[in-house]
Amino acid sequence: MEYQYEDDAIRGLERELMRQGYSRRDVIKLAGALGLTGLLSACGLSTGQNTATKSPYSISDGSSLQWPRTIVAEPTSPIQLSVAHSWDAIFWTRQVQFDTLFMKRHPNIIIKAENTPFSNYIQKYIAQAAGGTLPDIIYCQYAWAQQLIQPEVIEPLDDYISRQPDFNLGDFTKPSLDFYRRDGKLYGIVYDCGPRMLFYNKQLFDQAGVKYPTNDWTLEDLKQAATKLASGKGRTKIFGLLSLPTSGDASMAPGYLFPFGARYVNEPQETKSYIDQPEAVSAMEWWWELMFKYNAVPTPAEQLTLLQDAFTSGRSAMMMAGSWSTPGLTQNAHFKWDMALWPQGPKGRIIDTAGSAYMIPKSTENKNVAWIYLNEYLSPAGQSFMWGMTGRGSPARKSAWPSYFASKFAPRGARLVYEALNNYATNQIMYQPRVTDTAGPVWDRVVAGDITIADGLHQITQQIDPILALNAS
Amino acid sequence: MRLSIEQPRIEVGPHPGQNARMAYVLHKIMVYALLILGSVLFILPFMWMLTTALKPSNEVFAFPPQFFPTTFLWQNFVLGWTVLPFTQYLINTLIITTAAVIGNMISCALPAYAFARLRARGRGIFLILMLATMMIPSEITLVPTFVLFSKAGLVNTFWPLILPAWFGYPFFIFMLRQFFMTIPKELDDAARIEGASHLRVLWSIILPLSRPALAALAIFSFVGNRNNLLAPLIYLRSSDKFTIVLGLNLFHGQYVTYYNQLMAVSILTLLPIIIIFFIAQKYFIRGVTLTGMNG
Amino acid sequence: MQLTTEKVALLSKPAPRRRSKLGRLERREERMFYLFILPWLIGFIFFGGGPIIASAVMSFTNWQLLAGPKWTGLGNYVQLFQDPLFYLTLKNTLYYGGGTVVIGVMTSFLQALLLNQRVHGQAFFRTVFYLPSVIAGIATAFLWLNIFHPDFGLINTVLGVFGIQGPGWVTSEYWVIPSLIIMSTWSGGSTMIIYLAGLQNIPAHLYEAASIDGAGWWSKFWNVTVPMMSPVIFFNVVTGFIGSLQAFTLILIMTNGAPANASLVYGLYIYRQAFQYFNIGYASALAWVLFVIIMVITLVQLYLAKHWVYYEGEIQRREIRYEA
Repeated sequence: MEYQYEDDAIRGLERELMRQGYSRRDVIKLAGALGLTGLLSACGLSTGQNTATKSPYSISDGSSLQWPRTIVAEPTSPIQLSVAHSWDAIFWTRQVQFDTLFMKRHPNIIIKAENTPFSNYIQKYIAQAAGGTLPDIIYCQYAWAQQLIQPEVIEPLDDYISRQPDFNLGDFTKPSLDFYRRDGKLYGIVYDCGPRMLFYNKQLFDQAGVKYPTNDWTLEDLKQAATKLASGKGRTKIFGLLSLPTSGDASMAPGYLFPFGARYVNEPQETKSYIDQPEAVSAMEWWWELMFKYNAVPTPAEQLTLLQDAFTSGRSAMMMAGSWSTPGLTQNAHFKWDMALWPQGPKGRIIDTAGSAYMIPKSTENKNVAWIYLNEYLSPAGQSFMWGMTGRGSPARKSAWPSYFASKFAPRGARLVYEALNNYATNQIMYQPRVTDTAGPVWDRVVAGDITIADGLHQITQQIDPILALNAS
Repeated sequence: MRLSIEQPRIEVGPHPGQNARMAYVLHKIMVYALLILGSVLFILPFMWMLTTALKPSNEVFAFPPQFFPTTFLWQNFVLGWTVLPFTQYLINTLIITTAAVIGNMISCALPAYAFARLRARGRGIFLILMLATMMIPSEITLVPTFVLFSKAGLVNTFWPLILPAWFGYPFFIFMLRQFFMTIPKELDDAARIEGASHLRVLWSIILPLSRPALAALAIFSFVGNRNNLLAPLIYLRSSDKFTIVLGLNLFHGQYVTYYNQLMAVSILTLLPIIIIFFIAQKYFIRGVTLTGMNG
Repeated sequence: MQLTTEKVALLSKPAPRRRSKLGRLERREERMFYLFILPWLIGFIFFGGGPIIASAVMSFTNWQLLAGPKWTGLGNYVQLFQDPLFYLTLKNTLYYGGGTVVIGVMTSFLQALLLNQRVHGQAFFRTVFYLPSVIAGIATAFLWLNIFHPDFGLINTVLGVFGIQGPGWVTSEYWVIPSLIIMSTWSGGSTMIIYLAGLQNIPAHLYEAASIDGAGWWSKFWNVTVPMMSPVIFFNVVTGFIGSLQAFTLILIMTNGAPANASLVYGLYIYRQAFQYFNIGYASALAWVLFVIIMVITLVQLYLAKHWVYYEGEIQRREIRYEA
């Protein structure tokens, strides 16, 4: 009897579906879609949820490290701490490892880590700020630092630091902390600070018969090598150098202009443009011969086709890039490469450096607990665990560098990076998007050949001086 | 009350006479040629995604560009899927999207019927108002809307992503209105004379005749909600609530982007959409056509 | 139920004039109207109207989002009309929006016609044609950067075969907007779907009657297909303008306003002001000026629609100002 009932029910359903216009084939298709979804779900579920299982890093790295004791009372009842990061999916596994170890050491602190894609990070947390739902600790890149600090939404950390005897501010590399200082107070603890270096493609050098860059190179040597390394046309064209200074990117000034005694703006006030001064004009003209005269640098058209820069794709023999590019190169380059110090100019050897930090917003309720996390996260042990042992690079604390040198993920030129950071790096980079957004389009015209370099720089100065003058207030 | 009278579609058929037959064959050839040409062009990016997914990292943008991978890394699919909990993300996305699609269908059909069939004094003004809400860029209303939801304590829940769908989207309301207005009113009148309420007319007459439009709405709503980045980005904080699109964007780091795993997971998450679209074709073929009121 | 005289009267008499006394049935219909639009109305008040009014208020301040807002009255609007970028982006946007809508309407319509032909593998072709509008922006951007490459992209190579020197496409100030227009019409799969849905609803007997009258394929197209599709075309034109005048995300990926601000569209400028310069007050003012412009364009379209849009099921109504 039961079977008949079920049979009728199924046939009844089938009849109903048929009436509504479905056919057997549709039901199969639908079932297939749902089944596929279910299969995908099953695949994932069996490997466990929420905890990343495949990490290139080993959590046992933490067992050899000495974690500091923070001079702040441990919470007596469980407290939740939300921390905002911006890591890619692979590095996130390392963050999870750190938090797991941290929570073992502090059973009453529950870490809720949040991850956001980098290009949307500031948009998301500005919205949170407007809605009053900022997390307890936030990541901050150097470019946003002053904009976050100025409206007084970030807690200064000097008190906490002075109460922590083993904090050792001197342990931080020279250029790293300035981005996060204002009016004599420190608002963020830096986790990395890296200089720009000269990267070169050994294969292309070998092919062209040019000797590798040494640390004695001058910029003139670099220019000559670039012209010798450029070859070919069209699809098979090889470039000597990846990019030239443009006014649309202010971070180029230290490496390309300062060695000639030229400046983009007056640092540190940043109220006046210096890019039309004779030294700057002649420096720019000197550099841009590489494109206009020698065709050794990709034109904007030639830079277009790839979503990845020409150096990583093996088409450019050299590039100036930050030490933070090394994980990407290790991952994506299929040729042998190495680093050298950025060559010296007539007025010395200078490159820029930048780094990111973590801050505590004023709206945080459990500031003491947040400080416990921050102190451990950015201690020598923490920086070794996160950025030294993983080969991510350039930890802000000098004491974390040995673990970086020893890491199997680190690039070969790691020690050179340290030398550059301590001796030649400057953190005088202007970050004002309105200025560069105004200057950039004018420079586009120069590159297109519509106006001369001197004219272009003159126009730029005229247009950005009013914007820069607003800084004086 | 079913009025579905189907008719086979009339197309240019072969007439007696050789010229006409030639024209027919030529027409067919041209159609096939255009379709195949178009398909090749449109399927290219998908092919690029597929080959990229199978390549090792340092081959993705290698130069000179190679179309085929040297080794087929099928494990990129598994690696990409498991490095972040994409199963959880898929479930989250399905919950949000299904709720939003159902909400859209219900909350857009009713106002569309009103704008198309019901007379009222303020109708024109409300139509303008409705269109007006589409004219402010969403980036600007983002912050006030966020403040609204955060004061209601709904941050880090799915509600900000689902609720608006239950209160009508102007785009869909306008679209359904246009479709409803192509249906002859005599059908309504016939039913109304028999005493049917407006709701019954909507349910039994208008909706069945609008199957293609409803299918289009379902597809758009599904795809739009699944691809929505801004709203989940702003409202969802804990990783276990993320949607697929958020997870995919996490393959873009500040320092390095993992293109092959990104493409692999993108393809996996596209499959449900493609399958659903394929199934929905039914509604685009068997359109209900009318012979007119000749009895 | 009975056929009351009232019901017959309702069905046969013309619509009442505005502000005249409404009969019981008219009022009942009006109540039904408000009842049916209630879901949208509630949503409008909370999710729509509220934030929109808030953004209007924001446009009168110079809120930096982190600090408190400061009232500046019409300051933003004064600044706006003196801002050369305002005029530049507006020009770029109207160029881009107009081009996208005009070309997009035609190509999507033709695609829909093509996909409506009875062929083998119709479902497959339709899926493939729809695919571009669903897949990731990166894949699209990559494909088009390769097609548009001035030196060895697909288009310039083909042109080279005919001895024509192709332009710089996205690297050229003059060609960047046409390139973006071409790109956006290619991924117009969603408008194609709407046309496809509309094509299904054209009654077959109209084509029959045309055939019997000896109409050729062009005549059938122009006199049957197009008029019956006019509501759908109208929809796509209106929403196309509204959408393309605000669009910016794909442009952000492709060119970010380059070269020399030739592809800096209004939506991108608003985004920069709001989320890179943190000037949400000024960005709101920009958005509201755009709103007025779009509203004017739409109202003009609604007015013109009377002359070319044909609704099979149109209700007779005296009020012609806002009705399409």
